Amino acid sequence: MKNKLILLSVLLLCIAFVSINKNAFKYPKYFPKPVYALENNNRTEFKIELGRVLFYDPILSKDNSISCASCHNPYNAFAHVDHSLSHGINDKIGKRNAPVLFNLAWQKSFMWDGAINHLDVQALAPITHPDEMGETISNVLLKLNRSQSYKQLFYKAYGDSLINSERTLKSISQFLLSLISSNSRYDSMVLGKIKFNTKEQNGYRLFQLHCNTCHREPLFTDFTFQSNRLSIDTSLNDLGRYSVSLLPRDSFKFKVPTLRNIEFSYPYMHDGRFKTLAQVMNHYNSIGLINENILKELRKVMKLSSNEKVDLIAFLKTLTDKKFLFDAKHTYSKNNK
Amino acid sequence: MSPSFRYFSLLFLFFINNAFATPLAKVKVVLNRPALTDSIAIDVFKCYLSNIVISDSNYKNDLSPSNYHLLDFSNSDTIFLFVSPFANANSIEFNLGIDSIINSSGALGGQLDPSNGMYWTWQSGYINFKIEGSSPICTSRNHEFQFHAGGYAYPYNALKAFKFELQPNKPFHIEIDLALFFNMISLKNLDHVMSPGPNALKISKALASCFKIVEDEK
Ligand code: HEC
Ligand code: HEC
Repeated sequence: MKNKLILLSVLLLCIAFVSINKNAFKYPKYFPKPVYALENNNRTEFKIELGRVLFYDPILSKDNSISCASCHNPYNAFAHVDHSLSHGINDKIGKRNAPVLFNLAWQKSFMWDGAINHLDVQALAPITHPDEMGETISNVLLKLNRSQSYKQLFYKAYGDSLINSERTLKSISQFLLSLISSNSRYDSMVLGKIKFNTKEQNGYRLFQLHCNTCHREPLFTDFTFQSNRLSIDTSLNDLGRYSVSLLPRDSFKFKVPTLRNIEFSYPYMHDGRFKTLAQVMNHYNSIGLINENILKELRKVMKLSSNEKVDLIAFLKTLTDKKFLFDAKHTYSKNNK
Repeated sequence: MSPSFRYFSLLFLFFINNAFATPLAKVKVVLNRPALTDSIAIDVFKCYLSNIVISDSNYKNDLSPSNYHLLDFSNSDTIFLFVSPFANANSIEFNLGIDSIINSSGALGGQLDPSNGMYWTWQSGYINFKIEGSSPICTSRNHEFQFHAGGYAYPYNALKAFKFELQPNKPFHIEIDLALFFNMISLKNLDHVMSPGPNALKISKALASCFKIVEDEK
């Protein structure tokens, strides 16, 4: 009897341990600490699943035609391929290119200009934007409340079937937080599992020399707002960070984007003006990028030869994470009907 | 659409109650007729009052953590505010608007639920107050004015803090006289504020000037 009890408690402990472990937020040791406060939004598989169903459901848009995934495609690291500017309901065209979605737990602010200050409230922007999903949050809640299957999903995630905006938004956050990309060739190299070939190695050297100050390893962004001296598109006249901070020095500055999965997230820049990485290289080469964060005497104008450009691109391609791009856990769910 | 308070002289009551709900002191908000020759019609007046603290010489009655109250002057349900008082309270403090910590805390519920329409979805942050209506003075379309004030980041933090002294054991009310708001801004030159910045600061200052404590006659 006593033995059985001990056995039972050991078993229970194991189950508890496994379930805690299953809900832990996992990331590589060489990543910094996440900024998202997970203690205010406990991670569970049911919340992630609910968020995933919402992400792929056009119910979030006014005419039930557009889902988050319409603009954020999982096979392109959740960027909007083939469209330089995003498309919303009634074929309305937005003014910016949809960015990739992963490693969002490390981001302090969202959007190209940092207008959104917390991942939980991010989804409100596309849902209510007239050119994107054109819906109101109260109407979304009405629609969700009418759905029997959502009642069940909320029940599983929260222990009762109450559907409110806080739960809806936090579930979407849980799905977005679960999108972690950390299985590229670059990551294997950092972990010492593989060695770069000579081209990649040379590209890595050039990257560290010219790009790493802004696109800082290991997330490949320092999360600041900078100008990489793109010419100003007068048809959009997008003032970037200035529209949030109202500081003149922030005019035409944009958030430094991550370069992970860059091979698959074309077109590039906030307005999607470049279709290929070669065009991006030519842009940086033509402005003669100067690394301003190193000693004045060491500053060198970037002047890459065509071989060096090829090597730099070879390095950028080591940031492709196929496991992430084709992870079945991130795509349309069986609960999406 | 909410009712139009043409020539408003409405009265709103906040009761400061003890545990048994017997009113001890009351706080009322009055909207007086503005001292302007042209008429002003108000369709919407909503504001957040937060962090209300009532103290006497040795005790602070802090109402946190859910000390955020959205007052919608077209919906009488929201005008009641229950505060457990003490007879010899000598000061009341509160904020007009939402502080920066709450502004950066993500999705919240209750009075702070973004579906209440007091949240900017395209640039995160709460709208501290909304005043909307029309007046022939406005040169805008349909002579409408629309003021949404907010902003929590330096240098455009639009939060306004108040501290008023109270006479112990004397009932009082808070009065908001919107006439002073319209006297401080010129509707001819300013009829729209929809984002944080210098104009949001200006109208926040104007609304703050409308608040005062009035002792009840008895
Ligand atoms: C109509 C296209 C469209 C739809 C629909 C859409 N997005 Fe986006 N998304 C964009 C664009 C464009 C941006 C960048 C906007 C900007 O910078 O102003 C963006 C930015 C984001 C960001 C910020 C990423 C970063 O790195 O800053 C997140 C997170 C995001 N979207 C999630 C969502 C979610 C969740 C949904 C569904 C509720 C959604 N999006 C629906 C186009 C869309
Ligand atoms: C001064 C900081 C800075 C440096 C240095 C820098 N970048 Fe950028 N990079 C940016 C910013 C800011 C953007 C976004 C600009 C925009 O969209 O307006 C960007 C965008 C990009 C993009 C497009 C990303 C996307 O998702 O659309 C690529 C690719 C890129 N940079 C590669 C590089 C490479 C390669 C180097 C080194 C040769 C480099 N960058 C150096 C700041 C920098």
